[in-house]
Amino acid sequence: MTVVVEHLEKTIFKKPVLADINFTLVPGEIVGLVGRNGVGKTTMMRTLVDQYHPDGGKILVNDADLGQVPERRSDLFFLDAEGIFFKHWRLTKVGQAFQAGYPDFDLAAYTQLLARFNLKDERYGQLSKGYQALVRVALAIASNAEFILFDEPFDGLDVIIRQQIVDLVIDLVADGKRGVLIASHDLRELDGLADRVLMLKHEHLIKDIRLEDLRQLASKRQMVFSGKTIPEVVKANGHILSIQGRVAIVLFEDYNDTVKSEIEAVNPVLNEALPLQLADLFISELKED
Amino acid sequence: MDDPRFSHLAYYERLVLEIKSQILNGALAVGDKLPSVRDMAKQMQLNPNTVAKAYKALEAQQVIEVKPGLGSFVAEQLAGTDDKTLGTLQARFQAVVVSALTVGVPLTELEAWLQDAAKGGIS
Repeated sequence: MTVVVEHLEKTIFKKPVLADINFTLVPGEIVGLVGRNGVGKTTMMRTLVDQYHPDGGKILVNDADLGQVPERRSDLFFLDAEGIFFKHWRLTKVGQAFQAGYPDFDLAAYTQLLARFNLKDERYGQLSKGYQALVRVALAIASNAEFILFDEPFDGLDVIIRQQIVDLVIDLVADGKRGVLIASHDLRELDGLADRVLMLKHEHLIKDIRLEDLRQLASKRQMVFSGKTIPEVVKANGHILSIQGRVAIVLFEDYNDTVKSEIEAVNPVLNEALPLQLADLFISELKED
Repeated sequence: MDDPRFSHLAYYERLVLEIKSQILNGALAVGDKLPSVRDMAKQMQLNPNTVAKAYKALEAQQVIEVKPGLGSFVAEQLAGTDDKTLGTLQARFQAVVVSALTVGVPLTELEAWLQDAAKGGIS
């Protein structure tokens, strides 16, 4: 009941896009895939479902190597918003087509979801962007594939549709039987929603972090020191996010008792915790280059 | 979940404090049933594992009671906390008081903080 990605490689037009990518997906977890625009998040998803053929490495779905057992690809669901083949089709016909492609597709569940959103038998291409997104999520859920890959599922959606999609994603994983990977360039979309976040930079996966663990350890602090310079202990243990006048905003990835007492020892004039956002935890990586 | 006093904490800790605040201010009464993990996750737009972790912490602290097959309920005896929990709380409180006095917070100011924190739960 896992997806194990080992040493995945993909080169496009002689440019490496994915190099030595390793990670695991398990049921019951929402995993975020983050990175700046153009870093290869969509390429990764396309490669996972063999829409792009990997140049190296393996994708194991429940121990079966997709390279050897291609029929297990239906355990992974990915619908590329860019290459929609059913733009001019009515929604019922779209459902029937997916039923042919995914052996466990639940047409009744698909119809129920459409009814919940008050969708009739419109043509997909005539729906608004938000309703098109809901139809794609409905197809993913009804596919009954164990692992669902979503590429920017919240991009450009209003708050109501976004909330409906979050509810559907929660339903997907809540019984612990299915797993979700969500690619997003916007860290705020994943804050509170993802169990783990994978961070793609250049062609490598540079972080695989369990967010609640990190939030417990990390602390973003507003600090003022009596001297003119920032004490060494702060520089050694924290990332300085900004300095305005005498106020330094510092992110400590591990604000433990040792760090705490060393900082208290240099007698800061001000040292208080600030709200910590997911974006703060990645800012130092995202800022470089 | 938007309480600014708790916004520097992990999400599960925030939810724990949110539920405790609701018990303090009467929004939740003894015996009330909490939403299921799935429903709470949707209400808060929060990861279901995070909600489950918060419920487990509340259960371990005897704030809520899990009745198998029925759900989670606000526990009967909020005051009947065991000595170990009280001891831990007292130690943490003393550590904060010492730290505050060391950096020169006057005792009167500390008392005002205590009043504010208590009111924050009630208002």
